[in-house]
Amino acid sequence: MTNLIIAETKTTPSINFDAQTGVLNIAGESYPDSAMQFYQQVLDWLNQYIATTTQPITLNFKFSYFNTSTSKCILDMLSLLEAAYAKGRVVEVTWHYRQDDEDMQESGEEFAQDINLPFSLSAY
Amino acid sequence: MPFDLLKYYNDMNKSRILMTFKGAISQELLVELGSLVRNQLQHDDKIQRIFAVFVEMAQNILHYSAEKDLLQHIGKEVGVGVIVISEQEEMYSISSGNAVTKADAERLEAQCRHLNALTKEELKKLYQERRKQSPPEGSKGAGLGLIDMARKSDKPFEFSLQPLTSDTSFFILNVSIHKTAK
Repeated sequence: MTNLIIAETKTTPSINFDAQTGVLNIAGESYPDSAMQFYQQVLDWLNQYIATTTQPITLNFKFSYFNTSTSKCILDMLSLLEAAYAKGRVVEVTWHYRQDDEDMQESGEEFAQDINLPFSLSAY
Repeated sequence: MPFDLLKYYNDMNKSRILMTFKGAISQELLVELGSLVRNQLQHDDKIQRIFAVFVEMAQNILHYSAEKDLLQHIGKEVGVGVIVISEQEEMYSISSGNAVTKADAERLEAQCRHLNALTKEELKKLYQERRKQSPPEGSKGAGLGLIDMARKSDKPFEFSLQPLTSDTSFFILNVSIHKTAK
């Protein structure tokens, strides 16, 4: 499978999904006009990756800001991984947040509560 | 004189307006206004919250205002409304105003009342529950914006609905955020 690489813009994060290593990085800000439209390509890639490969998946989120419709899309991504994890796939999620950003920390904690996945928080 | 600019200037000073915009809000404009807000408030550690509330309000106007404007240069129809960020002794106020249909007005009023009656813990629960469900019909986002703003507001929403035309109302929403640390 080819990698999924999308450059960062003012309102969308950088997407760097490495098909070889299974390391998936999402970083930046997210408040596009339509979050669902932007994240559809990400969800499609992830779906296909889960279905056609077997290596462990490491997903890193490093948001400095995301809006509420993005929040829904993040949960959609995590739900795909949750289903794969339930079927035995090795999955690890890390939520990176700036150490003085309590809201971002709380957001990570809430996703961790919502999803049954190995999920860790990491301050930077 | 067609417009009393001096009075406008003095009123803005007196009300300590940090940012105001009235008109068609495109995504591109929202980004520019957002940068302006961030520049003006970068000294305050509540900037992230204020910015977040601003984005939710601006995107609500962009997507849901009952008053639309066709922007020729981008070939897109966007919502029209007004956003004001002002400063008081201890608070920042982020306020939005826009036209809504009568049906939306009733729904919004009920929703604001409901959210105002909930504790922060209940709001958090509602947010997480709602996020797991499919978006409400007609929603372009996730139907989470109001709940998120209620969570970020340090006071209950101040809101009002007033008749605008025969089939629309003017919806005003105000969110207050403390200046000092929580």
